[in-house]
Amino acid sequence: MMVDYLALWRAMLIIGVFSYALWKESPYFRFCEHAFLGSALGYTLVITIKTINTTAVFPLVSEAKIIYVIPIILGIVLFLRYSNSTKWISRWPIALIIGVGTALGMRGVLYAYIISQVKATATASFMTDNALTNFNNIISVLTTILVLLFFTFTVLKGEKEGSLMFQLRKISRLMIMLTLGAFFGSITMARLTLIAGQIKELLIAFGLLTS
Amino acid sequence: MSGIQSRNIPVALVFVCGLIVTVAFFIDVPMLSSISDSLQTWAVIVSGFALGLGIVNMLAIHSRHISRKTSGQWPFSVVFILFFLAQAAPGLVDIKTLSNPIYVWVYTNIFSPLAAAMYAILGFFIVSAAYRAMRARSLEAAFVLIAGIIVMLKNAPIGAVIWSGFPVLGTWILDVPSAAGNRAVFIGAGIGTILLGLRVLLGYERGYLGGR
Amino acid sequence: MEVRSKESSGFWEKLENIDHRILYWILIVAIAIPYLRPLGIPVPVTEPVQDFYNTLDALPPGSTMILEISSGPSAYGEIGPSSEAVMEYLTKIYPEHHGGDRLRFVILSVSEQGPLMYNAYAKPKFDETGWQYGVDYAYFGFISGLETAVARLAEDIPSLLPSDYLGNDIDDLKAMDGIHSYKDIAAVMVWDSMGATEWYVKHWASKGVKVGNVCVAVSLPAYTMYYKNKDMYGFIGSSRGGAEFEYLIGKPGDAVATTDTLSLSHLWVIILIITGNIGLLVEKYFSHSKR
Repeated sequence: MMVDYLALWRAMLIIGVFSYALWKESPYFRFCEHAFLGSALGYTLVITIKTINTTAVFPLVSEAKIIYVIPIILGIVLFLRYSNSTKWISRWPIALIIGVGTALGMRGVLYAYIISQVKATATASFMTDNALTNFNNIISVLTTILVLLFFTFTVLKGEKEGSLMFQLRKISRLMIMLTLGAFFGSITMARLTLIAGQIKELLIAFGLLTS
Repeated sequence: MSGIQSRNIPVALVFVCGLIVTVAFFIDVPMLSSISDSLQTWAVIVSGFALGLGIVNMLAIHSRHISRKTSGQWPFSVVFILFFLAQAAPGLVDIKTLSNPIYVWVYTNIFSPLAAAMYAILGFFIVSAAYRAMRARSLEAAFVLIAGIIVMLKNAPIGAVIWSGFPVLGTWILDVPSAAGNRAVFIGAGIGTILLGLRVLLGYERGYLGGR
Repeated sequence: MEVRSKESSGFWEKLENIDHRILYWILIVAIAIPYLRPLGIPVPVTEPVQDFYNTLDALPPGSTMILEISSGPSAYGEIGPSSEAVMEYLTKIYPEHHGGDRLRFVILSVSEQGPLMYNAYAKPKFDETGWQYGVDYAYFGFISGLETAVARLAEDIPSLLPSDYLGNDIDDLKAMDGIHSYKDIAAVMVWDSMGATEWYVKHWASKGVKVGNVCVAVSLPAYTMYYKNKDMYGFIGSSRGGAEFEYLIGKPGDAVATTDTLSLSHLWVIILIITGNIGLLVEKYFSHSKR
């Protein structure tokens, strides 16, 4: 039987990482950890240079778009942060990223986080032909309103234990717990699937499973 | 360097860039749109350079460990540097197509399996959490557990074998209360993002400037 | 009573303090068994996966799609098999349904690890089925900037993609003919493990472009919400969604095998939760009895 040495090598790396959980922290695990960090950083360096080449150097050199000199200079200026005397100017390119990123972020959340969500809640009909749909829409709207109430961190005048607002906040906490429970169920599937993928690689490497 | 140059100019830059990009979204003025488009393209390019900052930091930290022969760490820092060079050098040699065989070999047989394993190891800690932390000490905790178990039995095919209601109930939890709860959370987060964004643009939040 | 409580609380105490490594090894066995002896439990197709399939199948041949690969080796276990199934559909089954005509693809990554996933799952499928690079699809590699890049692309694609991954000028790529902005894109599909789909919902779906994804399970609650709001045309969630898609296209494979393992592993986690809670009840009951 042909032995796939590369698959065995990869299996040894997986076992090295898993040894942290299945055995204990050891030089084997630390070797794998630092090999990962080193190769990840090397890969990031290559990809970073490539993307700068694609988005900035190529238009400057091949299409003579001289204006691309400005972002290239700003990008190089970022590295002046390592000297105390020039640190001040490295804040300018950061300011560009922050200013543009913040504005785009605000633009984006306006539709996706606010308008779309409010529209979905406001257009939920309670008078369709399907009783289950009506019930679901009522629960949906009530849950949205209750959870929004919970995030109102101002204590309203007259609010005390036993008051209507207090009771509503208790119910809204329970609805948030349902949301978190669903999240936990999804995370569990995510993490277990990742381990399953690695177990499959190990079984294939040791000849117990064909790919 | 004086405070004006050091901190106030960047704050003003944030305001100007943010204002242009925001206003261009709402008001259609060709010159404004053109400047906004350029600023966005430049921000993308400068972000690429920003990735290099992390690389410089990590190399500096591990080089220091090696030069000071930090006990218990420096041999692993050597490993770090060696694998960094093994991945980076062949890639830089053939930056145009990134098809250097050594570069491809290293990312296929070292980086990829290690990356996959590093993320997969988190699954073991879900098991620990399930055993140690997932206790129904209150009504709210019980709600989390019950919803979590039902969704798990919806996701796992065996759930339908145990009881055909699990997939139905699990789908209902995801589609109705969970989606509705997420909607409210997102609305709150959206309002928070806009308020925080305004604080950043107006110069009240200056954490991005770093220390003196 | 006292003797019983000592024995019982001793047993539960031992169980409470059990070495976690034992639990981890049992998990590994629970995952390995279905690979070696498949359970074969069927996986019914759910609405989001069916809608994902229907939307893609309804796209007119010759339409251009954006394939955003914002994932990498860290998520291969979860969305690798699903992505492979989607590529099988796009490269073989879609053309079969449309008289041999194909869709066109503009492929890019806002994640640095995206090129790895492109090389592992997308490129081999294109090569296997004789798709012509530059004509049927073009790949632009990693584009920095995250949400800023996604927002900018919606307005002006050539401004951020002046050359492809191999250094070819965008004007030389037939696949990019007539592609300038979101208006020229029929749909977006994201292979997502970092939340990039949300940026496409914010800046592309808001302009009426169809957005769907193959995503990790962690994001399922959020994307279920977007799907219910009709901001997304569908999604394939983790290997479970991939298994459903494989059944839909009639080619059960890796995703089905991986989903099989979810049964025993999830049961083990549930047993641990129940055991922990029984221990909690015992602790409460015996601490009351002692008083």
